[in-house]
Amino acid sequence: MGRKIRLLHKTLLVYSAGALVCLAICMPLYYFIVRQIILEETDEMHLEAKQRIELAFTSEVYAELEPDKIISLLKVLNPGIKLKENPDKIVFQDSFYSIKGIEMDDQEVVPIRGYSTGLGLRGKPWHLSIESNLEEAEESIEILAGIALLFFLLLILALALFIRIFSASLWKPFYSALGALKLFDLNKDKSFDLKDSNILEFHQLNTGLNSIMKENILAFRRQKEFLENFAHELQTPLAMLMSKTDLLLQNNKEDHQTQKNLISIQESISRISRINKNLLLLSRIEQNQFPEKENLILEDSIRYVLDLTEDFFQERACTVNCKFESKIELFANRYLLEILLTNLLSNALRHSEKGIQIIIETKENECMISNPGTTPLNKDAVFQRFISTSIHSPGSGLGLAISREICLASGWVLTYDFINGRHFFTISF
Amino acid sequence: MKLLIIEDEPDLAKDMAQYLSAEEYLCMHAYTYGEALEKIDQYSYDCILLDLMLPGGNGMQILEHTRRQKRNDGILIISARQGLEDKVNGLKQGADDYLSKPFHLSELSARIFSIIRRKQFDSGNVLTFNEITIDLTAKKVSVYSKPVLLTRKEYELLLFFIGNKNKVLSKNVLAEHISGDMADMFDNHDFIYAHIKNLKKKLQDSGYSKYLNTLYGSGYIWEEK
Repeated sequence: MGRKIRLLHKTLLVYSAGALVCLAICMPLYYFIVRQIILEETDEMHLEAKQRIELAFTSEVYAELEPDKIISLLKVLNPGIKLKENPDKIVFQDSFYSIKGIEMDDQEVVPIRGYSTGLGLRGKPWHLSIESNLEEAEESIEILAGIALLFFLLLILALALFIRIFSASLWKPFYSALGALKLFDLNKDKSFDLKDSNILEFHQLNTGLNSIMKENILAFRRQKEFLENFAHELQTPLAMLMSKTDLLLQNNKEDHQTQKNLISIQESISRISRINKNLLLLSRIEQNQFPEKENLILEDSIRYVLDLTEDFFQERACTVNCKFESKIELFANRYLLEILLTNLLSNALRHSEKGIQIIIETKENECMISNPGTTPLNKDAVFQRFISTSIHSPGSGLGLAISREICLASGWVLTYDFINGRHFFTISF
Repeated sequence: MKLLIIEDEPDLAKDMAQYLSAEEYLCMHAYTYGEALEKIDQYSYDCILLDLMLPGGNGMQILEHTRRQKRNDGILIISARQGLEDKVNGLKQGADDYLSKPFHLSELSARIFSIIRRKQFDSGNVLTFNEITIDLTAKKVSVYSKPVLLTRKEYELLLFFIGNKNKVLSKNVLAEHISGDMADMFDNHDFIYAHIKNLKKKLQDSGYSKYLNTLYGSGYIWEEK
């Protein structure tokens, strides 16, 4: 499943990545375009210079001057101009070129843009070359690029900030729905109602969630009510069955086979009524029908329950080892605490071979009950109703569900673990 | 001894009466709230079995009614509602005991037996069964005036047997009686054998007339020969 990323971070990441790609493409492009513009400007300037030279040679003002003189005059204006006679009449084509040259002053390698062409002046062929130092222009490009980069980064930063602030408020309904879902507990009997949003998608999400939850809560409540009513309604017919069997048992004292059968029936009825009682108990715990609380000392309750269940331990030849390291004082319902302890003990007993040792430990604010076992139980199913975790145990399938419910109702946590070949049920108070 | 069974299920009421009549109880019935009040006002009873859910009214009001009249009738609440408050309220209102449905008739019989004993002898509460004497206050048993030392569970079993004379009692019923609320958590009731064996041996050693007998495959019976 991997690490989970937050929705807002994800948006931000995608935006930033996009911006970086954009930057990576735009910056070279920007540099290239600006450079191209500068080169073209330089070339234009060179062409203008050429025209000025032609003009100077044909002008009447300079008609008296020697070509060398004119050239040196022109050089004052533009030191890159070189004009030489071309007695061999070599054909020079118009050409623009970029080269690296060495600057005279500080011997630095600088970029140079040049123009070379052939001219006919005063009836003679000439070769003209004009070169311009582009170092400063290049520097300008760098500065410009830097400034552009800075603005771009600022833009991204602003965007990120905007996303953070705006998205957070945009997704607020989503996060509140998420929070409500996280906090929701079907067992706590609370209603689930998300506020409406004026954004269509959130409105749909919230209405959908609201209706699903409403139906679920209703179904859960109905199921609980059904179970409770069912258990209640079973009481009278069960009482009838029980009393009839009890009576029949008295009337057939000599018929051993019938007696045996009747006793089997009686046992089954007892078992049904036990399941029934436990179902009712479960629903009463869920409905918080045990509000009376008192100060209890866990150790005393454990000893009391051990005393009551002594017979069952002897019957299975099991021993109990108590290690009370801490004195745990509780403010709880006595009846529920005793049922909880009895259930956990009977569970440990029921799922063990004969002659094993059950260990009860208290440590800090925890109480652990453990018994040896071979395979771990299914952690998810262990506290569910009617999921028998073992074949050779005719339990009602409700003991652990009741235990968990008692812990929930009392604000304790009941957990299951399998450590070093022992099943551990831990109550954290 | 006179009992009033206030129970709206006629069939169940009849079963209770049939089981109890063997114990020299004279059983009267009331099926509705009105009928119950009428019968309570007409006679006094050693024990009233009171179902809380009745057609025509709440059984709790009948309880208040008898308590207002300051009568000495024993009252055993029988309820299909297993609410703990019902039990607590009922006992607070002056009921002597509480039994929730479904229950074994033997359990009912034992409870009635103990309520009536308690009512009859307010102090110096001694129960005699031929050569067996049971001091209900001190919880001490003696046979031919010689004390027999019983454990708490053996003592409770003995009382249960005497409260269900000549009745077949399965180990299941006995175990449920002994372990009370805990019986709901356990399914195996074999431990009862050991207790009965011990009880039998202790009584036999004291020379009682072997009332307690094992029935092949079905359970135990306390027979008065």
